[in-house]
This record gives sequence, C-alpha cells and structure tokens, in this order.
Amino acid sequence: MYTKDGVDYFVVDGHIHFWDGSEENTANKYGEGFIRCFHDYQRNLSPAEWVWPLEKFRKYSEQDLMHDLFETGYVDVAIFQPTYLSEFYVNGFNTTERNGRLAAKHPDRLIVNGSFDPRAGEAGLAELERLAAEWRLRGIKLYTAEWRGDSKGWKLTDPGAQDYLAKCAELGIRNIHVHKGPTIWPLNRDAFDVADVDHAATAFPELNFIVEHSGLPRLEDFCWIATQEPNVYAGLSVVMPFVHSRPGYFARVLGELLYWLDEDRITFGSDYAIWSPRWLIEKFVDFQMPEELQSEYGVLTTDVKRKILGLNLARLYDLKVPETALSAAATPTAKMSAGQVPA
Amino acid sequence: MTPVTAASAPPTGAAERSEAVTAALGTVLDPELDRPITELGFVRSVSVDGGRVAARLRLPTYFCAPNFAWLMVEGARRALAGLSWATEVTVVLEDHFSSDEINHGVACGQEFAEAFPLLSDPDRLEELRRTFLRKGLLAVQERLGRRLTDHGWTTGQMAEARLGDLPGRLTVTLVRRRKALGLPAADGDPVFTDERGRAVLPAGMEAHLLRCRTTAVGIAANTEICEGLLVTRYGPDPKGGIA
Repeated sequence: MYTKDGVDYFVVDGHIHFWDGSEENTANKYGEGFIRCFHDYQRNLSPAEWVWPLEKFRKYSEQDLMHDLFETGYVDVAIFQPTYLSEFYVNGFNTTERNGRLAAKHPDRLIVNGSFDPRAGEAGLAELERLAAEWRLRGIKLYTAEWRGDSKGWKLTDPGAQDYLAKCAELGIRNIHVHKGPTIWPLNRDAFDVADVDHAATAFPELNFIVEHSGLPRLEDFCWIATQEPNVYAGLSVVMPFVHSRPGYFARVLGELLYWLDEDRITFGSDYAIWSPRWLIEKFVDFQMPEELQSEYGVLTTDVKRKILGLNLARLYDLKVPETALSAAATPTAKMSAGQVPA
Repeated sequence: MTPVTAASAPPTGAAERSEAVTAALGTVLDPELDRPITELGFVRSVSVDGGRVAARLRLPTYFCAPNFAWLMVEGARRALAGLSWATEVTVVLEDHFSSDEINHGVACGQEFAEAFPLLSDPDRLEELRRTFLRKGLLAVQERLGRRLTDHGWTTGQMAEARLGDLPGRLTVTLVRRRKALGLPAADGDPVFTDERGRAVLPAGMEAHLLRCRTTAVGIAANTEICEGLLVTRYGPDPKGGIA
C-alpha cells in the first residue's frame, strides 16, 4: 500500500519477472544480446540511483525481489509474467516453474501466470492443463514473437491458437497478457502487429486481453482496437518509466490511452527487474498532466491513479482491496470519451 | 564557376564528396520512426576514397527488427549507389543479431526473403514499408492541422483546403510522403486525406485529426525510446559519429 497526502493506493504490479540471465544459463549470442538489451532499457529510463550493475541484473536474488517489491516498493500483490526464451537460455529465462517456486512461498503476495505456445500442438494443450492444475492459473503471458525451431513467431489468429484460447476459457484462465511492445525482439515479419488481438478479443468475449506495453510502436492501431473491444486492456509496463525521464511523452501516451480506452482498462506494471516499483509509484502519484495538455487530455484525478495502480487489476484477478483504498463512488472525471472532441 | 553549375557538377574534392554522401544518407528514413537515419544518429561513420564509398550503420538495440534494419541498409546502399561518381559502395550494419545476413544479403542484391528464407512471405516487406509510410502521412497531417488550428482555421476550412492554397514550406513533407506512396499531390488535390489519399469530409475532420494525433504520439514515443537506447548503447553523442 502506498499512502500519499492521506490517500491510500492499493498497488497491484501486473508485470514482474524473476529471471536467470546469468552467464552459465546463457546459451548463445542471442541470449547474451537479450539480457544486455534489457539492461540498456534499465539504464536508459531509470533514475541513476536505480541502475544496477550488469552482474546483478543478470541474476538477482529472491531477497532482492521481495525487498524491492514488498518491503520498500509499496506493492500489495505482484503478478509474474513468464518469458521462456528456451532457445536463448539453457533452463529458460523466466519460466512458470522458476516464478512459481517463489510464488508458492508467498501465496498472498505473488501470483504466477502460465504461458502457452500453440506451435506445441496437442502436447502443449496437455501441458497447459498440467500448468493450470499445478499453479492454479488465473492468467497467461504470451510472446507471439518467440522463436521456436525455424519459426520466428506466431499470431493469435493462427488456427492452433484458437484451441489454446478455448482451453484457457474452459480452465477458467481469464486474463490473457499479450506482449506487444517495442521491437527489441527477434521477429518474423511484423510480429508486433496488434490486429490479431482484435480477432481473438471478438472470438473470446469471456477472456480479458491485456496488451502489455500498450502495443507502443503501434499505439494508434492498439487504441483503435481497444475502442471496439471492451475486453481489451492496456498494460503500462515500459510506458511507466517515461514518467521520470520523458514526462511530456508519458503525458501524451497516457492521455491517448485515457481518451480511446478509459480509466478502467489501464493497468500498472513495473516490468521488474528492469524497473523498480518504488520510484515508478512515487513519481506517478505525484504526476499531473502538464497544463498545456489539459485541454486535450483532461487531468488525472486520484481515482484515475488508484484504478491504474491497482484497482483495475484487483478486479481482473479477484483481489480483495482494503476499504480505505477503494475508489470513491464512480464520479465522472475530466476525461473525455472517444467520439467527443476538445472544446 | 556559377552556383548553378557548381551544384550540378559531380563533386571531386573529398570534403564535397563526403557532404554528398551525408546528404544522400539523409534521404533514407527509419521506416518506423519516419525520420532520416542521419538525424537519428544511426550513421556511425562514412568514408570516401576516390570513388569508393563506405558507410557503417548502427541501431539502438541488438534486436531491432531485422526487416526494418534491412530496409535502412538497403536504402542506404541504394542512395549511395545513386551518386554518379561512386564506383564502389559498401554499407555495413554493426552489432546486430542478424548483421551477417543483412550485410551479405544487401551487398549481393538479394531480396529480404532470400536472405531470410525462413521468414518467407516475399511481398511482406514492401507492404510493411508502405504501412509505415501511411502512418507517416497521418502524423505529418497532425502537425499541419495543429499549425492551421493555431492560425484560426476551422475544421471545415481544413477539409476544403487544396495543396495550392498553402505555402510550399508547410506542405513540403506532406507532398513528399504522398509521392512516396504514389498518391496525388498536385496543387488542386486536398491537403487532408486518409492514408489512401481520399479527401476527408468536413464532418469527419475532427475524428481524422484525432487519429492523426494518436499516430503521431505513437511514433514520437517510439522515437524517444530508440534515441535514448542508442545513447545508452553508444554514448552521449551518437550524432557526432558522422562528423
């Protein structure tokens, strides 16, 4: 819980990792390039005191994670989003098992999500069932750009993917997190094209599709889809750290998301350990739309910030929120809804 | 020698040729960011030795999309080969996970699909390039719309406006984008169009400008990330690389 100016903010960090990018686990030049690329993200967008040496960044400890998220980071509940990268790392980079072992020790604090890859066919469906039973999955993280053998990616519209999404619905896994973000990944054609989310969201209205990184390089395509599909959400990981180093751009991206979606469909994620929640949360709560943008984007109310930082994900994951942190009765905000134009 | 002939004669001095190389590379856009690779700091170095020209490119991350990287390397090679005095052109992409495939493929005049057979779909790259040119076309209208609004134009007036109604300095980028997409760009053609070149009706003008705005914000935010990562990777003054 974060408290500022007498206001309680229940914090759900919807995007964390417990990875192993150590030299021993790195299988090839791709794995090496990948962890360094992640580290550059941290170095580029963090305040100087939050930059780690590469050595620590490659493989941090369980104590680091618990400390940075829960002891000093204000987080109430955090959600692991696995990243297998089995072709780059000997034992995988950030697997459900690795995350799950930690989550099992702190079940009231950590939620572990699973993953699937439709290219695994029937065997993968069985594996999804096993993962769901073992970890009681409520969510899934998907990397449509992940390499597998000769394939450099897949789409939610692939026929095989439909079977997997149907299986998720059947197993009660309602939250589908899809990585659609900056193009730092190996990819086939345009693997970050968000159009496939549109199709899947229409086909599976009972599932929630949280588009991680808000489809950033394709922000406008994502926004357009999200206006039409009520079960599509914007995940703010990668967007959040802009609040420190590029506040003007942060304001505009958030403003666009608030305009095209609404405050009930935007979710916080630190992408820990790339960024740490403590400074993101402090700076976000202190943040306000710059005056010159308020005529276009409105202002950020306390309620909007509460929803983004935790209440929206608490709703998706059925988390109990303390009374003091509940949002005031649905009051209209200064936000404009899609279709209106600034006066 | 008059300025006119000086401009049209092929340069012979090393400094002039170096400038010509930089100017040629300045016509190559990052397709996703819609900005010249020279402005983005992606040109690490240029060397001219008689008719031999070599350029080294670098990108913000090891995993920048190979298809976009290809378009830039190929574009740079084509731009340099267009210099009448250039007898041998080399373009090298550094520090990228697929540097070898891209450098070899472009140098041998291959198509992207030939260099990356597993990525298949031969026509997709050109389609992707056009997709981003269209996004650029929308973003440039956002900037123009903002300027006109600041000057008191109504959306109705904007919908009626023809290219010939505005001074060339305001429409030069718009016209260049339209031509790149093969869309009409004559004085009598509308200023504001959708990405297929169709005029925007007055009733749809506000919604059109909002779409353009979101597109521009997306491109700008992505550019911020890429520029920041380039500095993180290569040091604080990447643009100095071309000097």
